[in-house]
Amino acid sequence: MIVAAAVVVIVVIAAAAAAITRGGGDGDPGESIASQLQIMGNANDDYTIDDKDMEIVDDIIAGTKSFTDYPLADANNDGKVDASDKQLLQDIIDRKSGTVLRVMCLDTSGNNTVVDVEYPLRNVVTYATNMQLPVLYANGGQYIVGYFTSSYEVAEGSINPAAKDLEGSSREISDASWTLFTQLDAGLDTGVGAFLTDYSAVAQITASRQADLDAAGIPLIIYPSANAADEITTVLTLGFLFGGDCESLAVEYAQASWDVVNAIDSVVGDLSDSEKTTYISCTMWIYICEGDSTYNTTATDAGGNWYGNVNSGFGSTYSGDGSTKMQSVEALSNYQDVDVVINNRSMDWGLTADEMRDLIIDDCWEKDRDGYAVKDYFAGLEENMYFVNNILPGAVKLAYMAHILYGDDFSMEWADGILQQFIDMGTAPLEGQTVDSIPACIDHSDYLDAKA
Amino acid sequence: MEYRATNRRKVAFVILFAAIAAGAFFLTLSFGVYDISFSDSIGAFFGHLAGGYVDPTDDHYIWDVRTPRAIGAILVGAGLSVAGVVMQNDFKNPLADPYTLGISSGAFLGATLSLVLGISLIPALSGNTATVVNAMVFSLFPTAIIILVARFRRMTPVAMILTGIAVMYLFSSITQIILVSATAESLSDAYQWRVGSLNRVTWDSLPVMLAVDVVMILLLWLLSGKLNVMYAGDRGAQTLGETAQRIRVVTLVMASLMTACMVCYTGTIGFIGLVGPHVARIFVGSNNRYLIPASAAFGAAFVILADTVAKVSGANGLPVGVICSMIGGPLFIWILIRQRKSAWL
Repeated sequence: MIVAAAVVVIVVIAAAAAAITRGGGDGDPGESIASQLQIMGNANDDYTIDDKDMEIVDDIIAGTKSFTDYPLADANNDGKVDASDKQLLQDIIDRKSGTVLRVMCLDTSGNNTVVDVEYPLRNVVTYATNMQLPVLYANGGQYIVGYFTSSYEVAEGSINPAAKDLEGSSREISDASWTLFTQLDAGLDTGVGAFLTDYSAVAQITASRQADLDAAGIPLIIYPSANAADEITTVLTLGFLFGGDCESLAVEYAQASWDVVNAIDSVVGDLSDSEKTTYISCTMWIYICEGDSTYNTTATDAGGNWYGNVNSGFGSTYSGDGSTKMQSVEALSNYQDVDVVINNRSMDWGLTADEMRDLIIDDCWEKDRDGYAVKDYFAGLEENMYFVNNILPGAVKLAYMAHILYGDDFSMEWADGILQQFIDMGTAPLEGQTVDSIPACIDHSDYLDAKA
Repeated sequence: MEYRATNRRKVAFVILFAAIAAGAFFLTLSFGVYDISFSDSIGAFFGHLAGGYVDPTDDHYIWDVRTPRAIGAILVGAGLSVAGVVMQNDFKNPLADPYTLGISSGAFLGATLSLVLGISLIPALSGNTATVVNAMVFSLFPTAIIILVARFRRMTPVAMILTGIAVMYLFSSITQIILVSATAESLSDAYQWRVGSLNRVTWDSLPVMLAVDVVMILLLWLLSGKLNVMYAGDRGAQTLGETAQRIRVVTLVMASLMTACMVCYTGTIGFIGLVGPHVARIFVGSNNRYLIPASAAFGAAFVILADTVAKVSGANGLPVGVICSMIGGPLFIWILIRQRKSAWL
């Protein structure tokens, strides 16, 4: 009798805990997703297209709601809401193959635009890590037919093995690579379905290349995905476009991501700037991120206060949206009162214990930079310096940054739990990994342990 | 009497710029991003030497970072300037320097292979050590090619320098091909190396730099009499009992080795190898007995002062190569306008 009662209690507690950690209970599985699906027809501007959007379209046609209040109800993007939008919306709700979706994204000038994309999206070509990884996180690697660069053997291992390496680089799409791309398009029966890139790489899409895309009828989808919050929207939209399991995975990804965002906000949202932990972001080991850089945006989303806000000298020296290389090991010598340094590094995973130790020592703390070890540039700040893996899902990065900034509120175990949640989700780049095989957050004690 | 007075002025020039370099050494210890007063920096320097207590942070930045950098500035300035003297002397050409002979482009190619492609001439080496070794070895290739070509086909000094320029363009084009496909990260590293910085000079770098610099400058100074013979031209040298080509090859190898040992640690610091000798020549004339120490003193003083400016320029310092050219170019034009006689011979 006692045993049975204990079992019942355990089951009830476990069920309650599961409901809390999933953040949903019996309600809408995506109710906490603040990202908006970037597809016309998403009339209520939420994370998906469903009957709720159709109700709004019906109300607009009936005159009980105003089109100006729901501009996304215009599913076919013709400037009005009528029966044709209703028909298209129904096709979208039915996830009917061959439906032409109007996808909202950026153009090469950074302005909002709408491009036509056939559903479900197939035969994509990707460029830039900040776009390629969201495609993979939405399990869209199977639909990649060409890519210009792949730098992470394991993290990007889910790219379709038959996809063509177009031989570009992270910095440039050469003319030869572009020719390979146009040849790839010409050789496919249905052509390339879309060209996907991150806004930070948009300089490679010159006017003549844009003209090539237009002539071939290839939609160019550009999103700014370097920031964690933006990345969630990108994964959500791409998952919808790929359809099927990709859509449900993307919703789960976005849900889990926003749970992290909300968890962080519940603790640090009411803090004044003076109460917040100050941080300096770095990248490429010894480059100091400037005030408006996306790395700083992510750290600020994690509840941090950029050090430039409390030290005007640092703020004026490192204003801008790029990064500045430290010209000497003295560069941070006068900023020793910063609370933490977050060093953003892109690190592949699938590491053994020995490989992890080598990475921590040789590729992080003792990496040679202009004759000095990286740790020499952070003299006096070593114990407050953390490497965070930049190619992890945005929400996982936020979780580790929240731990770095507010360790008392967000333990390392909590952040590891978030990573484990994404591993368990079934997103391809993390498939088969463990918390121990991924270099997620490396601190000074990890370095000392590795040296020992 | 006038001859002795002239010589005293030449010696005075050497002493003056050696003193400036020495003074700049102590001055530059207090310059940099880390805030420290002049007196505290001097205190930290001598405190470390005496083994007394020094604030650990002061000690780190003054002794571990700024002192080797300052010594490196003196060595690089002296070495590159003397290398320029020898090359201009050997080829009787005022434009000869480590750049025009392809030494710098060779070093840059070697460094680029390491920084961008991760290729090390010695497979066991990696990181900065591989870059240093690559740069040193590749910087000697142009000189080797010039000497080999000259050995198999009798060449005039002009033809030899043109060979150096051809090698420079060849190496530069190979480097550009590599850089076209470089990642942003490695491209930035390569660019930083290209413009030259004393930031890379550490205590570990100094033994090689110091030994090669001192030995080569001393040997070249001892050979100053033979270098002077080169002014008479190849035939003139022959009438004086010297073989011009042999002197040229020996001194060129010495100057190239010295240059290689500097630029492999610092990257290609331009200007000083070309202009240092010209400025010194304006004041002490072309006699290598005075010109070599005068160029060394001027080069040392110029580079350490330029690096002092470089350390406090920009967000957190600028490469010294940039400052050298930025200050040195206008300064040299001003000196050329002010001086009346020809500085060359």
